[in-house]
Amino acid sequence: MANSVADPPAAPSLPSTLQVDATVALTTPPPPAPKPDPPKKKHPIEYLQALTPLIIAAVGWFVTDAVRSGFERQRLQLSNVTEMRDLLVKLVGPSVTLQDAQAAASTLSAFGEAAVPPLVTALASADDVRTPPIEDALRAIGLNHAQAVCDPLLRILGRPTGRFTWLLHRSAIRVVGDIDCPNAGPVLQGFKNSLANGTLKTYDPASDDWIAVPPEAVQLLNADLTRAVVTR
Amino acid sequence: MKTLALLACCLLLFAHTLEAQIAPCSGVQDPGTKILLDEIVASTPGAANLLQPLASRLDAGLLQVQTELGLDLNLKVLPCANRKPTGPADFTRSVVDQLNVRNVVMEVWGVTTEVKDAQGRAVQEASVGYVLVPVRLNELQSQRPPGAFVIPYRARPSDPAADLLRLVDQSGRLAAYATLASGTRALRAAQDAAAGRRPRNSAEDEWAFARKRLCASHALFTSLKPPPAASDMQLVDYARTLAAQTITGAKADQRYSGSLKLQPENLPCPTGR
Repeated sequence: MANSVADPPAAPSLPSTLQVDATVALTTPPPPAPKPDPPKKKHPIEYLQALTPLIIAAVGWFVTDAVRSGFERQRLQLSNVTEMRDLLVKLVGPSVTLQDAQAAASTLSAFGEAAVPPLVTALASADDVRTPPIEDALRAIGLNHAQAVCDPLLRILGRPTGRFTWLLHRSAIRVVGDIDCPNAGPVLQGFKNSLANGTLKTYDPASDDWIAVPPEAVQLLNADLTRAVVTR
Repeated sequence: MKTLALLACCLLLFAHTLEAQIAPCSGVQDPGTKILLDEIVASTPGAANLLQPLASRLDAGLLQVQTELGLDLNLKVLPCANRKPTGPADFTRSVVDQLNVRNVVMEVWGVTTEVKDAQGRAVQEASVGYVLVPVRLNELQSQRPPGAFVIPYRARPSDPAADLLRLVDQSGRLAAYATLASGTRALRAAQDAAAGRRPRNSAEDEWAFARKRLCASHALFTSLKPPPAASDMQLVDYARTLAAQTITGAKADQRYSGSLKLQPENLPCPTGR
């Protein structure tokens, strides 16, 4: 009991909070760093600017290629014309023989689409010697380039009031039927109808006028039309 | 030596092939029914002018048919210089078809040479080729009698040009062929009209028209002097058969009401010219 009064009051111990505070202060997560500014969205013009060299290169390549292709096409056409000239002169010349005409037309067919216009022109005035070789040549081209041959021939058949004789119509029907031209059905049927109802006229070069189709021509055209339509 | 001879033969054959060609004939596109008279290739002098005289002779022969038989064949003879077929084989389907669509009924060509006979005398030899276009078309379709053939002729010359003409014309044989070709074409037209493949010619009795021509050709063949050759006999039979077909066809034609409808089917052609 005695010691209870004498006991000095216990010295106040150091507040433990100091330590605690320090610890706490150290473990507290740092305040969030200020967010960096979001990357600034680029304007499309900037992209464009960045791509400009590429675009210029692509356009340049395209233009150069197109121009080069154009030049090459023209050069090829010119070369075709030059090379076809002699064959055409032989084919339509007055002294051609059947064998020569066959050889010339057959060689012309090797030029492909480029030979179609001159062959069709030659067919328009072809006689008994030249017609079969020219028909054969158009047939040969048409088997590989149907559209190139079909277009002009169907245009001839679709326009009976043009300056086309019935002999040219007959050749056109035969070739169109043989190479199975797409979209030929309505044109052939229309031609057949106008032939059947007698409204079809044919061009007569002698009088430069359109005359009724001669009866024997009607029979021949009908026979070829039937074959061309049936084989479709 | 043998090789050289063989080479020479080959060269000659090649040269002949190159020379003989089917070339265009101006006028073939013209309207009207035509006979093509090709160049007569001759080795004798003076033969160069043979084409025109022969064309005139053929014209005269056709005029004679018109006068004697009252038959207007309405055929135009077209001389075709530089056109030299090699033989009947040249007249393929496509060639004949092209001639047919241009109203050519007949084509004649020939080669003449002067040869020596066994006694060493000069003899004129001619090979004359004929294509009867409508008959050839039938032949290519159904193996009927030949529509293209070559007939060899031989004669001792006195006047080369006149002899050549005589050889090629052969006493009106050309007219007989032309009439047969024309009749065959007319029969085909009548058959096509009856089948509705072409418009009917209302102004004309097409069956009778065809029969008249076919019977006329029959008469011309049987009156030939010298008598028809073996190849001609086939054509005589052919003409007779086609003439009979005109009556058969006319009887079967529902829309026909002409004179042939009442004739017996076996009615023969009248004999004599």
